[in-house]
Amino acid sequence: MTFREREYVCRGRTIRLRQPDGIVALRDDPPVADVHRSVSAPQSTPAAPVGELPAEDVAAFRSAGWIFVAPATVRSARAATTTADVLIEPSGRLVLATDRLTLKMKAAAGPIEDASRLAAAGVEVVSPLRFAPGLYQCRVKPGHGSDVFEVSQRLLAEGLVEFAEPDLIGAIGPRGGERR
Amino acid sequence: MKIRFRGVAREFAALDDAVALRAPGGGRRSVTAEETLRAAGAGAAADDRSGPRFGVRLPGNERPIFERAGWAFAEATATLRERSRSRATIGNQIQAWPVIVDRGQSTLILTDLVTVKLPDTVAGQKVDEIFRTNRLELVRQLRFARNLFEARMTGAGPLDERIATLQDHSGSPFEFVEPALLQALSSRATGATPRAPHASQWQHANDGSGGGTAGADGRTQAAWSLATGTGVKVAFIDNGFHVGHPDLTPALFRGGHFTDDRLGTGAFVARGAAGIGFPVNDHGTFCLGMAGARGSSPERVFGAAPECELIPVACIDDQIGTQATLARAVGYAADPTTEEPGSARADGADIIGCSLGPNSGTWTLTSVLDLALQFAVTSGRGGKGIPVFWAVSNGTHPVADDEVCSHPQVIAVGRSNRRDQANGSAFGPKLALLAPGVDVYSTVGAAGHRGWTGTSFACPFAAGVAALVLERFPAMSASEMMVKVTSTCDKVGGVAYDASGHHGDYGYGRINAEQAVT
Repeated sequence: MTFREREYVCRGRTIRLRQPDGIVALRDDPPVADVHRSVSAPQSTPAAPVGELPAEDVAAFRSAGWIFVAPATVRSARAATTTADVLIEPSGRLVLATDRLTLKMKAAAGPIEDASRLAAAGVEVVSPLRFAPGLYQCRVKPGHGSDVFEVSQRLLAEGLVEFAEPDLIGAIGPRGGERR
Repeated sequence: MKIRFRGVAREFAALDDAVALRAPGGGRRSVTAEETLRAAGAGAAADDRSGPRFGVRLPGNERPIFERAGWAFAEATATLRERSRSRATIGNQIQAWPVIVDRGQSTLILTDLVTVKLPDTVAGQKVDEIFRTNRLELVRQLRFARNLFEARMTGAGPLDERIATLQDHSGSPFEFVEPALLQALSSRATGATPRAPHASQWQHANDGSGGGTAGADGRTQAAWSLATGTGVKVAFIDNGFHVGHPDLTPALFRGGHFTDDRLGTGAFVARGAAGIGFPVNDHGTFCLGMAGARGSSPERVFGAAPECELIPVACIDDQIGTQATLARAVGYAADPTTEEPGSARADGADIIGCSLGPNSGTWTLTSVLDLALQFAVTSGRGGKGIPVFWAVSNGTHPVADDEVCSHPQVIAVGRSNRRDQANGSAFGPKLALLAPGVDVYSTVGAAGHRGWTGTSFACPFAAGVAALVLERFPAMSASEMMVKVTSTCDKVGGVAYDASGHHGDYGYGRINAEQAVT
């Protein structure tokens, strides 16, 4: 498995991730990928090898309906399928990147004006987050040609935002242990 | 002192060295007994729980009940005695009232309220005239009997003398006048301990059974005589909850869940009364019970704050999601208006707890969750800030690698066992404290209970203790809470704590609710 390096800025620090070649993640909506939760189950979609990915995380994603496939599969996926890039954090934790990001405007001008400025930069506001001014959940506009890492870096470089961070999807489970 | 009730003179003893004080809004959330005392200049002495408090000793055991209702008792200095006598206010509208004791050694407070009955034949202006000439002010008419009123004695003068005059007035126009004495009217539950938890709940009072060490517990049962979390709202964020559990349902207040759209931008759905469609999860149910189970079911399973209100906030129900969703959950808990149109900011939580996160121990904090935490800790509770408790990883990892738990405004909680030992949770300078979290007993399923182990469960226990503290000290800020719960920990484990009182495996020690509420 070969990797390429991706990076973004999180709270002022550059975070470097490794993206394995030849694998992406898919999830249907509604999740109909249950057949892929078990390795022995018949698979209509060819699975990609996940041997070098952290097994515990892979199991958690599969349990939530995600499957790991070769990129070629994406071209035949249904419109209702969510696709995500597969990445490994410096700690070894598996995360997924989609087209979603959260950003905070450097000079918030109100939802309409902010949305207009972001649209010109190739970003569409999905919803405002009301616990801080100028804070939005966004997505990269379809057909923009750049992915979420490239867009985050460009928004920062252009000085439009205080921060723009990809909304990475990861395992956020309970911190419970064994039952009695 | 004699006061007539139903025509019979009853003996009462005046506690001449004590006065009862109460500020407007006293009780529940707004003003504590200590704050009332300080506002009245009646002394700010530390509470000596083994002896008289604030310079005055009361007979009987009603004092905590009065204090939980916002009353304070102070030594009757000349100034306070004069204010009580003249019924002038002290400082910020604090009133001082005489304290009396009945033959059964119950404490009673004499106020200016009386119940008055006039003959049925009296009507119209004559009623007004009787009130005026006897310096009474009508408060309300009690309509279950004719000419029965609640009234306030106006003007200066000792209350006991006024009552004696009204009761013994020759040619009295009244059928009767009786003072509305304030007394503690609590439930008549039987048993040595009013709130005796299930035998497996060593976290509240460890008797040394099951291989434990007596007293190696969170001291919660001992704290319940002073606070039970009444009026304090604890929000817990988890993957789901059995909101119909009988030990939890009576405590629930608002709450809701975030739908899964896989991308962190799901919709918020407010919890309906029936809880239909609410994500269910044993882990969250157990956590909620650790904080505030009411003990409603026959098993008598209680949370650390058994009278607090619980706000269940469910998100990431398939355990795969984004920190943006967690941030929204924190934002909602702090201020429901951020997600729920028509809600009120005042319905936000007083305390937030969460036991979610990767068990690998390393977690990068995003800016959006950082902003949500800052919002809660600085802007919540009308600016006093909401204490945020978070469970550290169960593995032996440095807490510092978990940027959520090591956030400077988050109280990072590890787990202790029934022998007051650290039990393999994350460690290091960022660990705030330990709380019982090994084989603790709480709520699961639709109506069940069982034992479970995890930092996950130490966290809501600590959040429940904070609810006890906030009931006692409602003006306490989030940063003051962090100091309070860490500075009152027991230095357990038989290890050497550093000069600041910290140990890498134990934080500032094992939480002690009894110390924290005093």
